[in-house]
This record gives sequence, C-alpha cells and structure tokens, in this order.
Amino acid sequence: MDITPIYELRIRLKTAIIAGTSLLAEDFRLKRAVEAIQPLLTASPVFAKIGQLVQALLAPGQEGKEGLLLDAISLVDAVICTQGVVAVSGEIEPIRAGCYGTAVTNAPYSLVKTLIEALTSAGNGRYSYVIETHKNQPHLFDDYRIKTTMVEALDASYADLANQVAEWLVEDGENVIPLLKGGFDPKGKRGMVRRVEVLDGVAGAKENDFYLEQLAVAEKEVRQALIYALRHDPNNIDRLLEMIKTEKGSSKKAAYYALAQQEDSRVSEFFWKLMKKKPEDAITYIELSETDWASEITAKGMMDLLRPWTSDVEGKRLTKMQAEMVKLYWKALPFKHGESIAECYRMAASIGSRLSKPLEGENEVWKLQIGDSRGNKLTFRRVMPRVLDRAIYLHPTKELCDLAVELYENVKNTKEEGDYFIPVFTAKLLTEENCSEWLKEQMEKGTILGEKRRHSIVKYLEEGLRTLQWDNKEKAHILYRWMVNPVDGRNHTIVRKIKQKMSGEFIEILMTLDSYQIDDTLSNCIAPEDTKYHDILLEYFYRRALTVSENRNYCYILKRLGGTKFEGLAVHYFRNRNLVDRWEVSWYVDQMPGSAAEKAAEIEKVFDMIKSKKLKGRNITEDWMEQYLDSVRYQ
Amino acid sequence: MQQITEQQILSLAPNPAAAANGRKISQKGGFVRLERSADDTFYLGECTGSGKSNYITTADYIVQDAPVFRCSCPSRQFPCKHSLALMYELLAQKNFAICEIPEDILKKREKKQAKATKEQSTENLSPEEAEKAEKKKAASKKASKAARTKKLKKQLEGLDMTEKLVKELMRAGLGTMGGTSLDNYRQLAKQLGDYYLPGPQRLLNGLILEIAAFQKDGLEDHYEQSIDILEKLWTLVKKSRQYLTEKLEKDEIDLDDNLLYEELGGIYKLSELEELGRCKKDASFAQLAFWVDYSEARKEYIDTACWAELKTGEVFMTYNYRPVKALKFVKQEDSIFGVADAAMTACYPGEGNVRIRWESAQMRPVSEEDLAQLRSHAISALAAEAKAAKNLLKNAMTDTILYRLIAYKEIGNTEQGPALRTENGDTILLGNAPGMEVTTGRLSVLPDEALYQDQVLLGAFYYDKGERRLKLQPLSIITKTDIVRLLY
Repeated sequence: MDITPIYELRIRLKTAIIAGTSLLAEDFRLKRAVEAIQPLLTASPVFAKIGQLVQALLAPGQEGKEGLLLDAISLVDAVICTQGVVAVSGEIEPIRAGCYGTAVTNAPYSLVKTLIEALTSAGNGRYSYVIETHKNQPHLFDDYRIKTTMVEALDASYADLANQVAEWLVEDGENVIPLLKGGFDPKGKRGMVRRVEVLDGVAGAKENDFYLEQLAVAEKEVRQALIYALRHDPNNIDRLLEMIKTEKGSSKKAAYYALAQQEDSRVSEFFWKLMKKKPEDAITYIELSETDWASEITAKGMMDLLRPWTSDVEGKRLTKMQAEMVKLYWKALPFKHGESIAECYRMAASIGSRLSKPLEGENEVWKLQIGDSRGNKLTFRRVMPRVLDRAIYLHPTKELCDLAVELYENVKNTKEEGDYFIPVFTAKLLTEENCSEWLKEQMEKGTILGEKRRHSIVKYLEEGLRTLQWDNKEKAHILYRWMVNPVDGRNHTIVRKIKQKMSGEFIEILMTLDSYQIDDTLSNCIAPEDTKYHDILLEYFYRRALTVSENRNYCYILKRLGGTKFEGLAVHYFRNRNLVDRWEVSWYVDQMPGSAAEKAAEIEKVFDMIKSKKLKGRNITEDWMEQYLDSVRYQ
Repeated sequence: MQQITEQQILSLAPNPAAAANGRKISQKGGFVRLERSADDTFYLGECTGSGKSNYITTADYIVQDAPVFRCSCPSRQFPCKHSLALMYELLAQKNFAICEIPEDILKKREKKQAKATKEQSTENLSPEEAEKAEKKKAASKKASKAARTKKLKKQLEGLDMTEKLVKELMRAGLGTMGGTSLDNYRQLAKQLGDYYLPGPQRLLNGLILEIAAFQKDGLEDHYEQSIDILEKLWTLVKKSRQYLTEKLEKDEIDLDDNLLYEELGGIYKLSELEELGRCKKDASFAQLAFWVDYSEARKEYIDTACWAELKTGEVFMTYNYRPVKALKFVKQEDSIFGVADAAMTACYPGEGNVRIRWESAQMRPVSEEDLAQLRSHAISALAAEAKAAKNLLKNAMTDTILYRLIAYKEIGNTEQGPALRTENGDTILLGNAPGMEVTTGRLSVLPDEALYQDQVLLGAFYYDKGERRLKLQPLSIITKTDIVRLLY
C-alpha cells in the first residue's frame, strides 16, 4: 500500500502548525493533501480517523480546530512510525577488527568521558589533564573510545595538545593507520596535516601510494606534508626532481627537503651543483639529511669556510654572510657522520677563540644563541662542543663518542674544558651503565685549576642533566630535548633513555654537588616503586633545606614527594631575611610540608623571633600573628 | 575478608580525586597497622598522616551493604581518603592481623540497633499510646486528603491554563512564537509551578528552548522537535484532565501508580512505591550502559544507566537527577561494572523500560554465569520485536527510545551503513538516536572480530524521521565473558 499521501499530509499539517489555524481556510495545499488521502480512508480504521480529523479541520465554522490539528498530526505521526521500514537490503560485509591496537579497558564514565572532552574541546586545564592522565594511566589511551578521539584531537585548537597527541599516535605504531586515513580530507586544515605527519612517522614508505593519491588534489599545508612524506621511497626521486621545478613556495621547499633524504647519485649530483650555485640553500635543505653525500658536502663546505682560521690571521673578520653559513652548518652537523665530519669537528676545536671576534664591520663580539640551556649567547668555540653534544644525543655512535673523548682530552686544562665536558658526559649517560668512576676522576683530580675546575664541571653537569627524569610509561630514566624541524617549523621532542643507572655511587656524587638545579633533577628521577631512594632523597632534601638560605624550593620538593619533616625549615628561612612581610609568611606556609598544626607551630617560632626583635617584620602586628596562626591551625 | 571491588570504592568515593588519593596512600604503603575482627565485620588501619600522629581509620561492615567509615583525620570529606585507602588495602588483600572489636564501636552498633528497633516496633505500646498513635495517624490522613484534593483542583486549573495557552499558540502559529512573546511564554511556564505542574512546565520550557534555538540558527529540525513536544503536551493535558477529574469525582484521592502522576511532575518516594506494591524482591541487575545527559528544560544533569535483570533479561533504567543549583550537594554517579543484588527494588509505573530504584544493593562482579543467563534472554525474533517497538514508540507519551537485548548473528557494513542480522535473517540498520552520543563510529574500532558475530547487543530502538525507518543504536555488546560498552 502506497502511503505517500500520508507523508504529504504530514508536511501540510506541520506547515499549518507553523502558520496557525487562523490561516487554515486559505491553505489549498492542505486541501489537496486531504483529497489525496481519500483512497486510503477505507484501508483501515486509523486512516478513516485521520480523514475525519482533517476534514473537520477544513470545515468552515468548526470549533476547536486547534485541538483537532494537534490530534491529527499526533495520529499521523503514530501511523508513520508504525509504517517505518526495518529490514535492510543488500549484503552485510564483515567489519575488519583488531587492527587498531585498541583494547577494552572497562574504564568508567568519569575517566573516559572527561578525557574525551579534554581532547576535543577548548578550555583551561584540559592540556595538563590530558598530560597527567597519559602519565598516570597510559592504558586508557588504548581504549577504543579514546583512540578515535585522539585522531579528532589532531585538530585541537590548542596546538601543544594536538602536537602531543600526534607524538603519542606515532608511538602507537601502524595500528592507527586506518583511523588516520578514514575521513581524510586532502584540502583540510591543521588536523589533516598532523594526520599526514603521523602517517609519515608511522608508516613511512608503506603508504607511498596514499600520499600520491592524495597529492592529486591536496592543497597548502596538507600538500606540503604529503610532498615531504615522499622522501621515504627512492622511487619518488624523479617525481621530486620534477616537483622542484613545478611546485611553489612551501611545497617546493618540502620537495627539496624530501629529495635531500635520498641516498642516490642523482640526488648527490643535484645538491653538489646547488652547493656551488647557492650554498646557503643547499645546506638549508640538507640539514636533516643523514646520507653519506650530505655529510661530505657539509664537511667540505664547513672546512673550506673555516680553513683560513686554522692559523692566526691578523685583522681578518668573518663576514655576515659567512656567519650565517656557519649557523646553517651548525644546524646540519648533528645529523651527519663519517670521518670527514670528524675532521670538521677537529678543525673547529683547533680554531678555538680565533672566531670569537666581531664580525666584519661590527663592534660587538660575534655571539650566538644556540646551545646554552639558559639562553646565553655563546661564541663559536663554545657552540661547537654543543653541536657535537647534539649529534651524540641524536646518534650516540662509537665514532662520535670516541671523538668527544678525544677532543675533551685535547682541551684539558684550557678554558674549553668545561664546554667539551658536555658531549662526553652525554655520551656516557647514553652508553654506559656506570660512569661514576670517570666522573669522580674529572672532579677530584688535582690540577692547576683545582676548585675552579670542580665548579665549572658542576655548571656543565647541571646543563647535561637538566631534562633528566623518570618516565612512567617507558619505565626508565630519560632525557628529552626539543629540536625544531625546519620542514614544519615546529618543536619536536626527542626522548632518549639513559643507560646510566640512577643509583649507588652516581647518585651519591650528585648529592655532593651543592646545586639546587641538580637537586631538582634528582627529585624528578624517583621511580614510584623505588622506596629506598625515595627515602634517601627525602632525607637529603630536608638536610639541604636546612643548609641553603633560600630553601623555599626545597620545601616545594619535600611537599611534592610527600615528605613530612618540617622542623626548623621556616625558622631557617626567615632567619636569613632582612625583613619579613605578611605575604612572604603566607607564601612560605603554603610551600611547607607538615600538617596544619605543625605548620602553625613552626611559624609560631618565627613570630616569637619577631616579637623578641631577632627578626624584623613589616605590618606584622601581634593581632595579625594571632589571627594568622588560627587560620593556619584550623584550615 | 570482605570482597571489595574497585568499582565499589569508586562508587563510595565523594569524587574521583579522593579515590585516587586513597589509592596512592595504599600503594605507597601508608598503613603501619592493619587489623580486623575475627568475624570480618570490622577493619582498622593506622595510617601515617602529614602530621606527627597517625590517623586511625575504621570500616564497620556490621550491615553488609551499608558499611560505616570513621577516621580520626580532620578532613570533612566523607568517606575520607584514609577510609578509601583502607578499602584499597582490602582490595589488595593485604594481611590484616586479628583484633577485638573496640568498645566504642560495639557501643555505637548497639545504639544504632536500638534506634532501628524503636522505629519499627509498635507492639510494645500501651493501649492508650496505641490509641493516641492511631488518632494522630487518622488526623494526619484527613489533613493530607484535604491537601491532596486541593492540589488536584489546582492542577486542573493549571491544565486549563495550559490548554488555553496551547490553543492560542495553535491559532497564531508556531512561527509567531519569538522575540518578546517568548518572554511571555517563559512567564507562563513559571506560573505552571504554582499549579503543581512541573511536568507540563518542563515541556513548555523545552518548547521555548527549541523556538529560541530556531531563531538563532534557523534549522527546521527545531520545528520538528517543537511539534513532538506539543503532541506530548496536548496528550498529557487531555489525559491528565480526565485522570484528575475522575479521581476527584470518585473521591479516590490517594496516590496511585498511574503514569500520569509522574508525567505531571509528581515524585514517588521509595516507600510509596513499596506501598503500591510496585517492587521486586531479591532481584539482580547487571549494568550494561551508563551516560550523563543534560536537560536545559529541566536545568538538571541526569545520570542514566541501563540495567538488565538477570532472571528475565528485561531492561530497566535508573536515573539520578542533579539540579544545576544543587550540583555541589548531589553526588554524580558513575559506571558500575558489576551486578547489583537488591533485596528490594522499587519499580516506577510506565511502559517500555521502566525506571527502578533501590535503597541499597550489594555490588558484586559479573560472572560468566550471569552473562550466560543474560544472553539466554536476548530476543532473536527481531521482526516481531521491531513491530512491538514501533507500537510503543508511536505513542506521544512514551519515551522515544526503547532498549532491548538482541541476539545477533553478525554486525557488518551495508551500503546504507552498519547493520545487524539475526540468526533467522532479520536485519536492521544501526544508527545513532537523536540526543544520544554517537556509538556506531566506535563499532569499527573494536579490538576483536569475535565481537561482530554471535553475540548479544544492548540496542536502543528509535524511529528515524528523515529516513522513515526504525533503527537500532548499539550501546553494549554482551559476550560470554565480558560486557563491551560502546557508551560508558
């Protein structure tokens, strides 16, 4: 039975509700719809009833049309519902499952939904919530409900969150590929770009066909990312050479960067030619290249530039162009290898301070900003060891590690010693289980420099250990560094597990260094199950808090680690102040470990010192002290 | 030792952070002493605090499904993190030394028992006291009958007002409802509260919200939703008038189990439902799905859960209403991965998936036997069930979604979208009901292919107006060993 007239009637009744019953008399379409259902009225009592109702609606002078209209549409809706189709035509194709790396976690609504919302909506605190949850409950991110959301989160408005999720998805491996490809839009925005970047990181050459397919229609940043992804497959070389001629802007650059990753004689020849014509472009594009030919080009180019300074050259200055080239070489060197590169480092080390001069036409000594974690500007002689350090961090090969030791030994007892200590220390952290003996030797060996040498090494240890921490997911101690990828301009985090065991003599040495920075690092290095070092370090931090005059940071560490010892902390801190302010007291109490009663007792001792004029307080009256103590006691 | 599940701990915790803190204390070895009574009704833990002295925390399981927690810490949170940590110690099956139950605990137990006995017992009253109690009861009954009569009459007035409002709206047309007239309707909706008609008030608020949304985005769908609301409101007014008039005419003013009582906005107490005989004894329910809705019309969050009775396979609902104004005071519920064994379960009047509620229930993990029992009740005659679903969904007064357990042969993809097929070849398209979170997308990323074959689905029947089709939204898959939730 064809009930199309009933659907049409429904539309007309809806229109009547929107227009109002006062206009029913003029509704010719409704009249037509009513006429059209006439053949159906005998089919069943319910259709007859509908007919009755709608006829009454159209009858002139009929009372209560408002109610009739609602009755009519209710009945029509009920009929339409009962007529709803159920069965599905066609074959049912099986769904392929188990290939996304997802799991059933049986996590409750409060966890899953909160995480989904944090990943997909904007707002304060969501980024840190996601990071904390990933740190404490990484298994949640395998939940099938979360996994799909993570792909959505690649488009998050907060870039840091989206970039972090991208990194996690790369860690997940190939399982995530179907999710990335499902719903992919080659004309999309940042979210799609990140999808390509994740695919690139996870699948590499395996998805070459996908990259090519999408390139046919891709635009802007997505196009750029797809072009860069072509670097994995050597079969793309001709295509990339062609793209360098046909693409424009960032896409053209992406083609250069992609081509530079190919270990191929045609590519080598291309870049050698480019090096002759436009060396700055050549070095820029081969920055990330780890090919043999790229190492040769970089080594030759840099050594040719530096050679004049291997002997003393009176009055000669680097030009600005040469200085810019040196900076480009610094970026490229960490990705290079081979004997010629080692020669390059040796040459740079031998140059020493000869390049620590003003540039041509300038007065200021030429300084640079890369290398120092504190953001200090450094001269050439101080940057080179940090470049080597970066190279070792990326690839701690035996050749590079041995080179670092060789150069360090060469500069012993010179002012370069501290700077060349850094790459050696990085090498040891990454490749040796226990470098305590070596470290002790560096610090304790009696030399002309004595204490000054020890102090220098502590400074460089702080630099080398700055990012060291325990990673709950890796279940290991890791270092992390950020490096800017020139292709997408973003900071990428590169994590390295250290081989050095964070226990025994090594920790004991670090505890003798009298350095807050190293202490802060140590506080981040405690594995949750390591109760032994947890207790040892708590005791150590407590003693340190009673030693250093500015002990607020130690209070923070103690509290963070669940320390309970508090006696003497506040007294020690305030004893060293010239003047005690109210806000300082409140601030300190907040940082202190201890229960409310214990904090109150400790601060009371400080107030006693103020009352007995051993300390000077500003705006700290007896009344205020009493009120404040009560507020602390009963918080 | 008490069998504790993490689910129980999470359900007792005032918030997830408290549970997390309790877990941390337990994992970091915060307890220096753990003791229990020989009869396993009393547990004690001495826990290091941030101060000098340790905290003593106890859990009294003299009433199994209503444990009492006590702690000497100054926290006002209840149960505090130390109590929760003690439960985590039980969960981890740590070693508890045997101890005597402390005197103060025994005294507290006696006091509680005495109070409960006093409340229940009337047998010990003297004849004068009994007569006095009877007179008091009769007087209060008379007073409440007068009050109820007054209320019913007021409700009838309110229904008249509502009917007038609806008729005026129909006369002028939905299209005229906007701008300043919306404010008038808001005022009228407020007034319905004075007539003890929160149900129609909510519907009217819903209508106002749809029209206001239409004014913002111009989407036709708002008119469709408005019509659905008007249909329901109109039917409610008509049926309620008849119901209330009959009650007054027959002088049957007492509370009954007519669905219209709740639709008008009445709230049943558990005791009232028990008095009406609407309860099940010793029933067990497995939770299959959980989610939280927000109703702007009600200004409430609604924690909603689907439960299947193990004995019958019937799907029931629980709702926990949390008004926005009182969010701080009403605890949000959470997913429960287990079975609730309830001595007494109250069942609300209604058709389709009836609402249930209990005072207390013993929670336990789901066993494979439970799952087997549930699976055995699943519907396999999909065509017949779909017809029955349509007959229920067509009514303006019933919910627009119907939850059922369906046994399927396979779930897969068709040209029209994902679909389900039963053993006898019946098929239905899978979709996402209006107002529900999307779950079909999650179907394709499940970790195990076995989930798509020969399983049982908790599905939600709904009518898709655009496609003029009955569809099923997948909510959970019940296997022989697990319940895989597509929601939460």
